[in-house]
Amino acid sequence: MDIMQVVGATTEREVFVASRTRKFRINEILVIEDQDLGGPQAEVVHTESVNRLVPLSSERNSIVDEKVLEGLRQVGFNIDQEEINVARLRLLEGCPYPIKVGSAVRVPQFAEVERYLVRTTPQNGLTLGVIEGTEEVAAGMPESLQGIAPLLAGQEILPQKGVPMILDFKQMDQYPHIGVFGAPGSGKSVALRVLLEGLMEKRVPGIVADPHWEMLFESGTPGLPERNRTDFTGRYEVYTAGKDVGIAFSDLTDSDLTKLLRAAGGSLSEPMENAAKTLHQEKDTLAAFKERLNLLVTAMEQEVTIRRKLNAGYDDLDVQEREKLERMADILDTYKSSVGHLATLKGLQWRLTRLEREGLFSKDVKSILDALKARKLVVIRGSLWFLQVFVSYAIGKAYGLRRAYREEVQKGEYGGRGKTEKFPPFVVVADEAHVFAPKSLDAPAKSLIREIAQEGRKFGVFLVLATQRPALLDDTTTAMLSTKIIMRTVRSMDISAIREETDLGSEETSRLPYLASGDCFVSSAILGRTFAVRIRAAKTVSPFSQNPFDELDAEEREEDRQIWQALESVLPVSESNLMQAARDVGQRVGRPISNQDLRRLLDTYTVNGRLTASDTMLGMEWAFPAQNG
Amino acid sequence: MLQLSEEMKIKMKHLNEHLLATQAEALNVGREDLRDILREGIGPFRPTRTLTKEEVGRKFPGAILGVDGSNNGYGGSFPHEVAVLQAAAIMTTGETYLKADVVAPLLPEARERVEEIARHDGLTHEQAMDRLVKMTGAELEIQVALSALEEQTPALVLLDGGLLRYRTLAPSWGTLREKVLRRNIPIAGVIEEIGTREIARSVRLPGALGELYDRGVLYGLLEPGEALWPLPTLQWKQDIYTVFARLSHDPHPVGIDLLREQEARFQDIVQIIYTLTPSGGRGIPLWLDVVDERTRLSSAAVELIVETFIDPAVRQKLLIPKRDRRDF
Repeated sequence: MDIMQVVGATTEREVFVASRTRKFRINEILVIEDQDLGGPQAEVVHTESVNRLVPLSSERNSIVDEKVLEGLRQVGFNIDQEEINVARLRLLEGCPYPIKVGSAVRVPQFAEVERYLVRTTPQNGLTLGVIEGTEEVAAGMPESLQGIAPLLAGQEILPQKGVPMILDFKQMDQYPHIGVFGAPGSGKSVALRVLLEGLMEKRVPGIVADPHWEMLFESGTPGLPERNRTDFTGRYEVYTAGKDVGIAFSDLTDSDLTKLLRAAGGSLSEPMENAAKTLHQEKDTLAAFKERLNLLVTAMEQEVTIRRKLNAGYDDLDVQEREKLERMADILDTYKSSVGHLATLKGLQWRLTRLEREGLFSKDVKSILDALKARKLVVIRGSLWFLQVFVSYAIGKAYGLRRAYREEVQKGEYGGRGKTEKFPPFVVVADEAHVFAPKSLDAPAKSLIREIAQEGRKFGVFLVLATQRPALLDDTTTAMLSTKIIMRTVRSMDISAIREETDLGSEETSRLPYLASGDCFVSSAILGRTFAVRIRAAKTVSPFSQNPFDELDAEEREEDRQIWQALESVLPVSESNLMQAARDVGQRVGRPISNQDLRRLLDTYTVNGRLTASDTMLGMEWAFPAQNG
Repeated sequence: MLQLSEEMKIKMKHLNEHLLATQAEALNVGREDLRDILREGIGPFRPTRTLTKEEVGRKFPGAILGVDGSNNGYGGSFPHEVAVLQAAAIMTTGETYLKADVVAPLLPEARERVEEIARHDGLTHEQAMDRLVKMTGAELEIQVALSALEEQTPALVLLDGGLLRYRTLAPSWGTLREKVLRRNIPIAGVIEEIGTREIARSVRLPGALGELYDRGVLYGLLEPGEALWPLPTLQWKQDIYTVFARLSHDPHPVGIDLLREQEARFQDIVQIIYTLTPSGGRGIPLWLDVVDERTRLSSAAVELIVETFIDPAVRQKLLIPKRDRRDF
């Protein structure tokens, strides 16, 4: 039995606990047996182990030589046993007066800490991972909590060790929105994947902006036990913006259109914005708008000619020509004064063409809305700039429908004349969220994301925003994220943003740069306190999980294999029939191989021992090494 | 601010000059010359070798017993004081033997003993008290070693300090001596601060070097691992034989007291002590440091002990010195 004891000076919030034999785990919960205070529970926030006999090297103290330690071990003394483990514990609930020094400390039973650790059942919540420091407590855990969160170590699946972290996502109604913060390689993508898998299992509809093209849920994680697998087929749809889904031009409002044009060019000057708004008419089709724009451009280019021809009278013009001139004159009269320069219009033309080429206007978002209604997750992929435009439009559309429906229901008008259709609540998921809603910059989706952050809860629309740069994410939006999953973060700017926006203490924030991939803090109003969590193995893997450098090697190996096979059929090769051999090998591998290429290959194989070379009357000859025996 | 008087400066400078003048360099005596003198008059310098793991196991099968004591005082001047003493004998295998004692001249029996020592040796009460504490401490260490030997058979007994101290101060020294000799248990005392002046008395050293104590003569003279083995004819401490050895990089050598009856084991004993001494440390076998650490009574600990067990009223009246109530 390990003896743990409260030592040193205590306060009503913190104590030090020492043990000779037991190592403390960061974040584990222990019970302090101070009967006057009713056995308060405390969490380990800092640990250290010291060996008085192996001091820090200094002038007075030196590292003890191995010969001394070996000699002492030989006579029965093992210096390792002189180690003392010390932990600083923070009480989970403050006490009216300090803890009694000398109180014994023990590992709690599961039932004692259950209320802190497990807030909902795996059926009702999202199982994100395992709470760190709960390995021992988990021994008394009910069956239902066991084996639901296997972990990943490198490529290997490890069984769940510890109490699962289950996020009661239904409480997002009270505490909306989730943020996932972490530097590249911190495990952010896996955390996001785990969240999305959970949402799909609960059949929560959602729209995912996937700029990395990685949110596919087809391939199961290798080595995952059967009971932890889920087939997500039919629970999600993947659309490529501009290919499978697009924007119906006639649905666009003036401001939608200007947003699109701005995104297409990176910026939009004020005259351009004016011109676009002036030229655009409600319910315009793309063709109508384009024709109006093009006609105006032509008219402005040829204004002098047009006026002169019209002034000269109609006599020498045919009807068609005359009508065209009149239309151009009309359009000049209507728009010229308010659209400014020709260059402005040409800028618009260029932007519109770019959007059109992406295929943005060739499709609509109906399939997205249908998938949401069918309680599916909709993954929308595209390049980052294009996604911003498209997603903002698509989410805006869905949000508008949901909002209209809810408002009608609230007013008690729903179902009356059937004006509004029923639309489900849904989540909006975006990776690289700082691009979609950047701090102190404008972006197509920013105002919408901000609106959902502030008002989405009312209508049952929730955000899941992932970013590697929380410091660059719009403040108003960040402030509304009630649950934050914080993974390894290195930049000091991001760490200070996290410190301001969460209840992470200095112990936790100082650990942020050193967290292992997959380790995180979950700071949530839903949970009431911050948990250190190891994210579980995702059930599926990203299509890009192969290392691109391994890919290089694999391709080379494949090529090598092909050439070797081809060579086998032509060996032995001598200098005299090199040309013929090169042609044969080239035919077999499907690309031309020159004499020099073949010669180089043969030399390489000879050097690494796969072939032997000998001087013969016909020059060099390469063959398989003679088999022994 | 510290005000230095002229007189203080002159006296300190004088002391410094005198100390410098006694150094070998100042006297133009080379290190090799000095070594030659000692080799001639005292004995050979021999390198010591560390023992391998197997040799330790073969030559010292079993555990090592380390013995150390500590004392610390509380209170004002005689007789308003308490000396708290503790001694420990600890086997490297973990078995621990502890003994404690308290010397308080406010108790009649302690006061009688102080007075008796003062009368017998012509000492003041303070000196006598000091001596009584030392005697009690030495005896306590021998007692605790004897308790350990009743249950254990160590491969070596290591005492912290010279054996001479026990012989002169501890009445039970003879019992321990007999016991280890009868049971063939090697015993050694490791002297951290050599306080003797035997070398200068045994050979003629050039000039002011002759004024130096052994510690000053031997400073920096030995190579790490080297030991000066005085000739058996130099019977400085009769039945106790002292080897001077530099067991670490620290240029101050330590003394190792051995019992002449165990001469056959001298080499082994010095070798294992050398083996168990960290080369970067101050030249004391690590095990004695461990025992010391577990035995040590710090002032804070003594204060805690006294304040826990002695009623505050009596403590204030009889034990707390006025100087503890100084404001600055």
